[in-house]
Amino acid sequence: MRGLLLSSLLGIGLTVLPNPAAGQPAPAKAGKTPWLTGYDEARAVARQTGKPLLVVFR
Amino acid sequence: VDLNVFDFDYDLTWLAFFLSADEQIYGRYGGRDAKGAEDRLSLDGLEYAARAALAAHAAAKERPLVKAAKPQLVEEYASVKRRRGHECIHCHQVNEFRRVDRKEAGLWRREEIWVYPLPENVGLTLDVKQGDRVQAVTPDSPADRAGLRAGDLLRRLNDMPVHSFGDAQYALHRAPVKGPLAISWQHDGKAMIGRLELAEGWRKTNLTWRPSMLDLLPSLTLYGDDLTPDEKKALGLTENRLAFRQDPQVHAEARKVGVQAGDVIIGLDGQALEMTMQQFLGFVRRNYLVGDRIKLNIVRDGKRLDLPMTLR
Repeated sequence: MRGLLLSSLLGIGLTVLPNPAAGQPAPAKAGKTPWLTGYDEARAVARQTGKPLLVVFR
Repeated sequence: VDLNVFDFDYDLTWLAFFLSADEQIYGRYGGRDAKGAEDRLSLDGLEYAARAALAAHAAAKERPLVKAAKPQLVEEYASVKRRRGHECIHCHQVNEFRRVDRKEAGLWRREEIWVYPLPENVGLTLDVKQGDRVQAVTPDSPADRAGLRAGDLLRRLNDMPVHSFGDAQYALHRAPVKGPLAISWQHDGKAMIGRLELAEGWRKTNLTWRPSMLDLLPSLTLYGDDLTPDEKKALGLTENRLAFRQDPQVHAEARKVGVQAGDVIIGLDGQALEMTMQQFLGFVRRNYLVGDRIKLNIVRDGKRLDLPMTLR
């Protein structure tokens, strides 16, 4: 697990998408997106804010 | 990483998921073909897919969540447990470990190599800037016969919503090796439903860019100049027929099966191939696997010979 977790944490970018339908703020400018690198943390933020997640594998 | 949730084309160098905090997948963005890693990507296309995901998220709040299956971790593969050290596992290695496990269990089937077929395989070229818009339909393809036309908007494929090339590829990846495939689309504002009739072999796609397939794809160790039209005519071959003369330097693997300098290679397994030497090497890599037994067709001193060999 550790091998994949480490490589994944290095390789995954996570953020939460703004949700206009829920009255959320406008999209962040390029380079201003608050990217997270921990999946569990990102899920917790998404749950709190009601926003969906964008998970990037690269 | 739960492979049941993040089920994607692990050979890719970039792929995005849109999902809820409860791991309900709304869509994917990414994918590529053999021409290049970015040919199918655009910022406009990403934004379009993201907006579709936001709409799905808003709608999903009113629907009950489907309980996810038991997590599947790559660390549970027997071939991963056997490895020494704790080096990182690259995404493409998920495919390799899975294949080793399936081969050892006697479950692996040859057709499993045809992963993530392109939409073009069913006759659909999708707009890079708007992944559900049909840019072109190949004449006499499954999509053409189902009635799709350029300008139509895909809605669902294989019962999955489509808003991007990545969505379409995933839906096709999950499709059967042959038979009908459900499709729905919008034509001039009118909702349409139909079926793509998939024939045997429809999944076949150029795999040569895939890192997880490198050990499966054969390299034919032959090299030489293509014969001139006059030289081909003298051998009774048509102008476009494959025919090249093996260089004086013969690779050890080729020598082992009996190839000699000056042999004229004209094909394999009796197929009348019309291509150049370079195209022939690519043809073998795209259409055969390591371990396949073939007969190399050659002309030596004016006589035709077949040399049996196992591709490596």
